[in-house]
Amino acid sequence: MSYQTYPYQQQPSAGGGGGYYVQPPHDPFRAYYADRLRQLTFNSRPIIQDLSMMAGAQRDQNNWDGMNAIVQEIEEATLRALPTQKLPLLYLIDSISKNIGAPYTTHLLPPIIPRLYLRTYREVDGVTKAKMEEMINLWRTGGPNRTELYGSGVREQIERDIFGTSYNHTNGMNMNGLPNLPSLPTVQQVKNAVQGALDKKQREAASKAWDMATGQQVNALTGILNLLNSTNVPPQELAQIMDQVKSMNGQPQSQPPQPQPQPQQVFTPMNQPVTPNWGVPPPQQAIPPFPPHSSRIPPPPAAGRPPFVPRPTPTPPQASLNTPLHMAGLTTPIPISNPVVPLPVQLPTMANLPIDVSKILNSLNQSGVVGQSKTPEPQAQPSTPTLSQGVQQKQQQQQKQQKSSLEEYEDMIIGLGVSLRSIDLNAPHILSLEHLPQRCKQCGMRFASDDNAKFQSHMDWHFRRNRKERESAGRGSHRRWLPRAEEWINDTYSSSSAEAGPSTNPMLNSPGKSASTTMTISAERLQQLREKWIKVPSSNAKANSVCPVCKESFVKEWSQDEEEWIWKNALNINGTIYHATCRAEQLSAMRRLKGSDPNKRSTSGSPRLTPQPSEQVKAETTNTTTSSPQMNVKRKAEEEGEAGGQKGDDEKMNDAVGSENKRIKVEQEQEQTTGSVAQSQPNRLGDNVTPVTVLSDIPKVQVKEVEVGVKVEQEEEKEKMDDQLASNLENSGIV
Amino acid sequence: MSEEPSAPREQIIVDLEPGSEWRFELEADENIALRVLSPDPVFVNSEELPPATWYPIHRYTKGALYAPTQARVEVTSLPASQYTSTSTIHPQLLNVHLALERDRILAKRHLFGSGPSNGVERVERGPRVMIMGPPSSGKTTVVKNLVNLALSSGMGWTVGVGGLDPSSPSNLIPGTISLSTPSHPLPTHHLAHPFGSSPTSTPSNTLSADTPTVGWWLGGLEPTNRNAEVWKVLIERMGEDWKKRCVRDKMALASGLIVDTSSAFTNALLGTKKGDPKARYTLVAQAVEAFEIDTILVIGHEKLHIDLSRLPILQQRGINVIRIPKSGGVVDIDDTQRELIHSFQIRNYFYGEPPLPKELTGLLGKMVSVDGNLNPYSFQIGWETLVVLRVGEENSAPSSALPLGSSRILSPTRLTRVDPSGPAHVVRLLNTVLAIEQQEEEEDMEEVPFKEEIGTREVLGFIVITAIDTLKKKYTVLSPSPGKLPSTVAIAGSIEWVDSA
Repeated sequence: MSYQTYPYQQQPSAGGGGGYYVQPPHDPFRAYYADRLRQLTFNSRPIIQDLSMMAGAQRDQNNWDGMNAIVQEIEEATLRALPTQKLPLLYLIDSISKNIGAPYTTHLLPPIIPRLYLRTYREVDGVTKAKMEEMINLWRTGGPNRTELYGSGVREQIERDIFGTSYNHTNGMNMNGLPNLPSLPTVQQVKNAVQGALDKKQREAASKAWDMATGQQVNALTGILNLLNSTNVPPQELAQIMDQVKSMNGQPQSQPPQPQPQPQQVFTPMNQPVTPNWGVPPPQQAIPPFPPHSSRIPPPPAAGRPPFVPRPTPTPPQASLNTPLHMAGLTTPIPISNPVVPLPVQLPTMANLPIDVSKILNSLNQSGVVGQSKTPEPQAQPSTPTLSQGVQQKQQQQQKQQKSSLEEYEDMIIGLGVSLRSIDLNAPHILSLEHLPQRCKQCGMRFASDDNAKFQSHMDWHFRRNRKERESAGRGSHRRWLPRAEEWINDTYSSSSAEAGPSTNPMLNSPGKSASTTMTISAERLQQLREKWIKVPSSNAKANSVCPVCKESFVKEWSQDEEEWIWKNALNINGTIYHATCRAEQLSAMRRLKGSDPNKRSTSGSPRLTPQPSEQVKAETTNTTTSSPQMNVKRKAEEEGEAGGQKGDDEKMNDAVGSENKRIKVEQEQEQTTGSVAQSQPNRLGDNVTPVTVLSDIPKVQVKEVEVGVKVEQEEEKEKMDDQLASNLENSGIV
Repeated sequence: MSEEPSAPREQIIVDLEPGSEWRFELEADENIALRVLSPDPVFVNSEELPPATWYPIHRYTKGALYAPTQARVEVTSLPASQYTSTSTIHPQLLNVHLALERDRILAKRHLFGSGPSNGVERVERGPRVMIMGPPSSGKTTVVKNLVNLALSSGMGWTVGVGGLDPSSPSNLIPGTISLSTPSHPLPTHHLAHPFGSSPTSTPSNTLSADTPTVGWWLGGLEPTNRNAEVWKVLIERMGEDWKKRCVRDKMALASGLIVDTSSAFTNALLGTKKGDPKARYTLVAQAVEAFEIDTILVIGHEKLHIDLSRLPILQQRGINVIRIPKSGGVVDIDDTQRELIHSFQIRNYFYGEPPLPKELTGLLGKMVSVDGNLNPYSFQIGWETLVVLRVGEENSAPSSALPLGSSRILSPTRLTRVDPSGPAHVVRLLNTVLAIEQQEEEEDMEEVPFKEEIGTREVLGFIVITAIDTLKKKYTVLSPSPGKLPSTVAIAGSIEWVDSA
């Protein structure tokens, strides 16, 4: 084929799936075509033929990009051509339309032809004008089966503009003889309107495949269209249909010719991977909403080759009904917004209508096409934030549904009736996860859709873990001692918040509960904290402030009791406003940092502790475990030698890690004041325990060592801060 | 690999037919990561793999991916031993799960009073299942599958896992039996801790870790006739604790219990005493009683199935014995393998998750979160301080050595303090794993050896004697946590471990 010889032609990727789209400005084919167009400065049959063939080739490949590009280039070329050189380009359009036909004649050209023709017509000289008039006259029967070349309306629109309203160039067969009667629409107008509505409904149906109502409407409209095409409908009934369809579209009664043609409204690629399938009517529900902004937008990448959709073309007897007056035009704009225009005309009494039409109207009514304007669709609601009550109700409804989704699962399992007593191991069951569509992005765990409480607590759990991990990074972690049986038995976290997981409440993980009670915030405490509130600050700057911990803004609420706007879960600490819960978590995190490791158990005062190595020895242990690797190595060596020099060694080490040591002493003092049982025991065994080394890898310890100095400082600072904040908290009445 | 590190890796794709398994057996030098590229779920031991996320699997692991529907999985490298099979027992396990799930739901509705289920029988508590089978029949895998199926149903179950197989400990180290309550599906990354590991000081990122666990120390790899009495006491205590937990925690009661057992349970004469020579499956019956088991799943073993079905004690209790097929993918593990696994599990207890292998660190794309290493601590402790005990008659003179006519009057659970001063003991104690047992406040160290009950208390953790200094009379021990030991009563067993990387 000839198009294969085009050197620059990029094989379009519409069907390829994995390919990419060449953007229009860089489209080599487009550039090539534009080049060839520039050569069309005189009436050259070969060039016109060639360009037409290329247009045909694009159609054969079902390449909408290419076809769009061709039409745009032709239009641009025509507009910028010298007046004397415009005619060949119009002839090219004529040639493409007549030789290639659809989709150029149905989708691509009709939107641009009127303005293009009219603009050109005004610029060219008389001879050319005459030739253009000649051309447009031939369009009347230029289509297949001697139909209108560009469907309907296009030629009329042009003629109306060129020849004025009084000009009736047709065979003078105005059936009404009342050309100025606007109230009785023509078959054509009605068809256009119906077609427009149909297009819109089809798009709607495609975007909401589940919506049965829209599907019914599509069917009803298709029925009307078929009826209009096949029979003669009296003008009055036409008017009624027209009114209803208009009311459904929210379309003004008389539509001026569209000055800005919108090709995308007519151009409806199908969202189905169908092989090129010319002339076969497509399944109507499959039309996707077309991208509304740019006519250059290629068909959606996911779509296969969009098959071309032929419009029903008017049959000659109907064409005779045409009135060239007040045409709605082919380019009926299709309002995208929800139709809220009330019915302008009362519904006609069904009995008066011929049976077919009344049937249609009935079906229109039943399918909700007509009634729609009165009862706005429910799915319009969620997008309006003002309807908070409605939203709430909806959420509640969803929650109810959600609850029932897990319940449904329960019922389903019970309904299966698989019992251990009479089990058939080979029964063909499949594992259903359908009740758990929501997945955690971090770990892939599944949740019931909109079961937000569980999902949220799961995400919180991730968050806490990640934070804890960051906090303890570089510190080195270790396996905990196991819980005692009692602790495990009483560990009922799982019954209260099943999804929360083991780490939801770190308190439950640590063997020494008393050690960690100070570290975490209990549920009741959180609840208390959430009840804290402050007045919304009057100054604007403050009112826009965010919590310094979580960086989120505060939620304003109207307090009935206070008759004030308040922020819940908020605290004012020295002029800075925090979320009460964030603040508490931060504080507890600080305490955790401060009191982190190395020996929580000893601080717990747990009654099970028996005669233990003294605190002094414990401090030594701590020293050693956090001391430098060089020391450890040295230490090890000396141990292997003799035990004698140990004490001096210890002192040296204490010097080496002086600052660290201080901190530990502070801690020790604190511990002593807390009065652990262990300390009250006689110190019988103390000397027997001698710490040796940290068995972690040396490089790791080196990292630690670098950090130790910094950390000590940080922690001292934090302790200070912590204390200060604690007193603040006390002042503010939390603690 | 001669491949340059920067060279783009070739994609290795494994396509799974609906209902098929991809089985892999990793060798010592094989670490792989895999990720699911298809939209439908793919499971490893019934844990759904996260979508399009690398999932590392460490060396020596043997496992299988199961795809109920057509699936596509990418692997970093193909293991030498890998194949797909359509002979999977997942449909059977699913049927078992559906039956268990039904009981759980009915129990939950009963316990939480969310409306009676009309027309359905009343179930007052969750199912309690015990899995039995010969060695290398996939018991632990079946348990794991059933647990994961329950935990991923979205119902928030906290299924109890009873690990009655000391040779394949659920969460701790070999020689222990344990009870744990995982609440998230358990991943399969490596050999250790098939049911999640016990908590560490840093919260874990993998869903398996931080599994609240309570453990008991048997000190041996399986119940034998010699330690049967100790075993029974331990099981009794476990059962009591489980009951107490169920009283406190209705969700645990509704979720039920799944018990993994030692392959020694298949031995009919195990635990049979001279006084009652006709007793069969004594330990099985005892465990059934202790945990109020209502269903026994027997893997493969036809004779065991028949035996148990006919066992009077079980019949009286109305125990439901169900035989499930053995998976075709089960690999027979030899002794070397077992030792390797045991060593790995102990290592994992002290040092945490194995680090991500080098070949898996540079992978492009998301990776499931992996936990970091743990740092154990080593220190010296005096011989006098640490009271090392042994439990049971195993360590006393054989009955044949007793004077003629006299019978043993010592309790089978008596404690013997190990005196490290004897040269033989030094050898015996080196590299021994000791279980730290809880110690009550009022207990005097002098009395400890005479309080038998101590020997069967729950354990708080494990230490290893890595060196013994006879001159200074000190042990050097490896402890999981820094600081002093929570108790100085330690029970020795027959488990040894050499800390070699």
